[in-house]
Amino acid sequence: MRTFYESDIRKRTLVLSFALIAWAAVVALRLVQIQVFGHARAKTAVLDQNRDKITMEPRRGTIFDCNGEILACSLPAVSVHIRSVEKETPTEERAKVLALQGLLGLSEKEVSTILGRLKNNSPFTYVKKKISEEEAARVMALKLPGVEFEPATRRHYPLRSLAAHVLGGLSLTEDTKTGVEARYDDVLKGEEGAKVVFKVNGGRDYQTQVIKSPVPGRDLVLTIDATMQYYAEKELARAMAEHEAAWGAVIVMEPSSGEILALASLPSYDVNDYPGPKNAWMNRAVQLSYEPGSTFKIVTAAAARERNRVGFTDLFDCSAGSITIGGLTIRDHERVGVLSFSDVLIHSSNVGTVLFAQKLTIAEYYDTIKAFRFGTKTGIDLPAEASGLVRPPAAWNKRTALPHIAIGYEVAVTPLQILVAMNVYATGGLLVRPHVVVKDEESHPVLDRSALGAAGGPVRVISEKTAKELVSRVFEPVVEEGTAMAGRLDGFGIAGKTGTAQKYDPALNAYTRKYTASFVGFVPVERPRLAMIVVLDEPKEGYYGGQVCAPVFRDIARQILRYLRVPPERPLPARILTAGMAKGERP
Amino acid sequence: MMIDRRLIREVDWILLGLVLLHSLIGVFFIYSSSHFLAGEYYVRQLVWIGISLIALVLVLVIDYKFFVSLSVYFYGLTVALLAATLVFARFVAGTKSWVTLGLMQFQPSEMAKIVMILVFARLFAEYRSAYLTTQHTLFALLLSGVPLILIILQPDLGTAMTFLAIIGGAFILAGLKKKAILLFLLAALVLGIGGWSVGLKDYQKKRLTTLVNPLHDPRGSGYQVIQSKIAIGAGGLSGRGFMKGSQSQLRFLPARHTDFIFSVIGEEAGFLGVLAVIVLYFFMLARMFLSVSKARDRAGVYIIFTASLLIAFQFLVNILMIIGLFPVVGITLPFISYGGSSLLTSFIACGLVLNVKMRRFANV
Repeated sequence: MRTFYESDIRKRTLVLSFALIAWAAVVALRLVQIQVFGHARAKTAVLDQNRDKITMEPRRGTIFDCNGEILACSLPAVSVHIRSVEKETPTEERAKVLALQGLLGLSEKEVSTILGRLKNNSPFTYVKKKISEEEAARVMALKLPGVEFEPATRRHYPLRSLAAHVLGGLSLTEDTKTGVEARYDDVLKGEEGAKVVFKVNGGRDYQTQVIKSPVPGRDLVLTIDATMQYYAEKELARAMAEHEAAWGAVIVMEPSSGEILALASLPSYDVNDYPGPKNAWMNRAVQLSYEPGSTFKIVTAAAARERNRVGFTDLFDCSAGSITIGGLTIRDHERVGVLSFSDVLIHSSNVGTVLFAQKLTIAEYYDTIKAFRFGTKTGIDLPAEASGLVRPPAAWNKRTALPHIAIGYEVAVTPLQILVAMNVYATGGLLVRPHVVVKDEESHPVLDRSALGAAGGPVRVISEKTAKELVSRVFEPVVEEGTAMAGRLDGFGIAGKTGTAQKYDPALNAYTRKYTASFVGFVPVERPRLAMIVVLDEPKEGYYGGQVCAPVFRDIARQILRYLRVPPERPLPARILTAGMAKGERP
Repeated sequence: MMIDRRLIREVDWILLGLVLLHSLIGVFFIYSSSHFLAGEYYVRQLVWIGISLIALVLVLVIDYKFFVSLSVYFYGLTVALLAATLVFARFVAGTKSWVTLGLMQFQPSEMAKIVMILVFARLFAEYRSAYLTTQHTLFALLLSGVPLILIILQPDLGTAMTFLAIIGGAFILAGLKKKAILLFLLAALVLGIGGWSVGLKDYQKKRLTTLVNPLHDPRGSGYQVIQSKIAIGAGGLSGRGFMKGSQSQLRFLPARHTDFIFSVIGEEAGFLGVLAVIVLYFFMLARMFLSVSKARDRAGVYIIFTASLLIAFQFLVNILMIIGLFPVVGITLPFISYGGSSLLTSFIACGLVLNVKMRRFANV
């Protein structure tokens, strides 16, 4: 029996042993390869598949109006994403995504993108970002495998289109924004946090470590008063409808501080639907430059009076109704005869203005224009402000430029710049910088103070005497007896200046019969509480600034003054008390 | 019948101890890799170890010659069972290999391995020349071919391969002429190519292609190999500690308490732990193989050799599979992997080895 084992078997066992030794060598080498040399790589692979680093979105700061009313806030929302599930067939994936499409209203393109990514085994695809919690609950109820949810926030503007152009808005992904949302983004956005999530196979997480907590954004308080903003928008919208204007803008400012109380630009948009229709994007109150026309005469008058080149009673012969200088003919809207300096402005005679303006040199006039800071941004804390255009004197036509600019042509300004210039008269000669966010040295160091002197405070432009005299002898009578008589307000004196600028058509290289009507002023005259500009573009029914814009000014001012409880500074006209008035009806 | 006291003294206690040691190592890592699952797999494994030990004792009590003499009936029964399995069994994980008997589930193909060992012992016991004749070869091929084809039809590639290993081992032991070996290799090649294009299922082909490049299908069949290699690699030199391997604890590792239990050992016990288990295993295998010298007759030689080969082959292939050098074919690691049928088969195989070894002197 033993011979059997000892004969051939020995040889065969030897072969077998060699095979085993070869096996052991291969296995040992392979183990060394995997466990010793591949150790670091395997460890990374382990972390890659069981650990996710996730950024934590901070809560964006709330935006309040000056009374603490919420204009913008971030509400909790849910983002939905999808992971590819092992062993799921394309048909199942498709059914799943179609179910999501039904609930979330995905476009065909989004559906095909998601399906494409699932097919390529992408580990993570967003289905829809920032849906409401109610919507998310409906999706969760389906219990679809691989569909997961993460908390997010969604920007909400409870007053919808109110102060749209001040707030600006925020796209869903928060990568495009405008208005205060853009200007103060670094204050509002806060700091992102980060967390590490450890998860088991299939995506369920079992441990979360917050590496860095998100720092919520700081809140912002605007100078805007929602109530005044509402008055301004309501009246502007009504005037625009009445006159079928192309666009309109209203800015209401507190004269001494430069706080913007209301800023309206129409057409407007619901901020929740940012960016809204293309026609509504532009904040025309600060981003649009136009030729101002007669409102610019407030600068011409300041230049002449500050240098004492003209007295209030000096007479100017405007009876021709037109004047021609170097081939440029300037006309009045009606023949006015011989007028004093005051009356030239009160009745807005272009001929008279050209006559007194010619008492100035180009350099002098240019100095005054620059002193009022035309051609320069006012420095309001809103993005994309236009600087307007004032050509340097070297580029001026030696004969025609000064008279033309004197009546508000060949310069481009923004509604805000004209308002700031008019405000100089309201403050007794000081240029104030406008702003929409309540100044707070501590929390808003981002304010750019270089735009207006080192301290950022008011800058004197004209003497107090010049300002006071022009207000009482010119700008107040403009409303009392001049071009803006339609804008008189019982109980209050308004100082202002109308403007009716012919629009220049670059295609025709000529001025057209289309107008930009405006009225800029402040009220009450003695202790100004509001400075305001109203601009309407291309009004159809009556195009004079005094006709079209002054009443808007009056209507807004009346409501705001009542809202501010400003007592009338003048006796109200005596009226017969009727039974109807006792019941609150107006006579 | 009662067992003789002398026989108890002749039992190879060291081998039995090694088998139990490996079973306990298995229980530990089964616990580590499945304690978070419902089903208490480690308890079930302990119960199966108990059942298998009882089976082993029963195998020891009866002289192996009795089993050999009954092998013809066993063979008939097994073939019938395999055929019945093909007809009646439901598909589980893509194959028809499980038979349910009341509460028990078992795989007839596992039983077939043991029966084949006995059949070869019977067939070659009386064969005395150094080399097999063609006639004998063909008869042996036919005899082993029937159950083999039934298993391939299930299809259970892993068991079929193990089966082939037993057949090959028996033939080598019986003595094949060089010409016959060449012929077998040629036939294997032709069958391999033919089987690839006709016989293999898509998932089996995928397993073969992913062996060459696991990243080819990282979420499909390559997934297991990738995860296994990551697990072993993450273990490094000294391992990440018992129940601390993230690959197994976080369920990234597939079939971690069954076919891929060795990856769990690799991750949690590291290179040193793996080496220790392999050395222990080699020690056990060597003790089994070297028992051949203690066999008192040719039948005993065949039993010890093929039974040892059964364990050795599964061990060798399982390790290669886990380190990505062999396709994923569903071969368990004997004694260590979770699974009743596999455990029972391995214990019975070991029981047969012990049986032959303890009866080396006399007919008792």
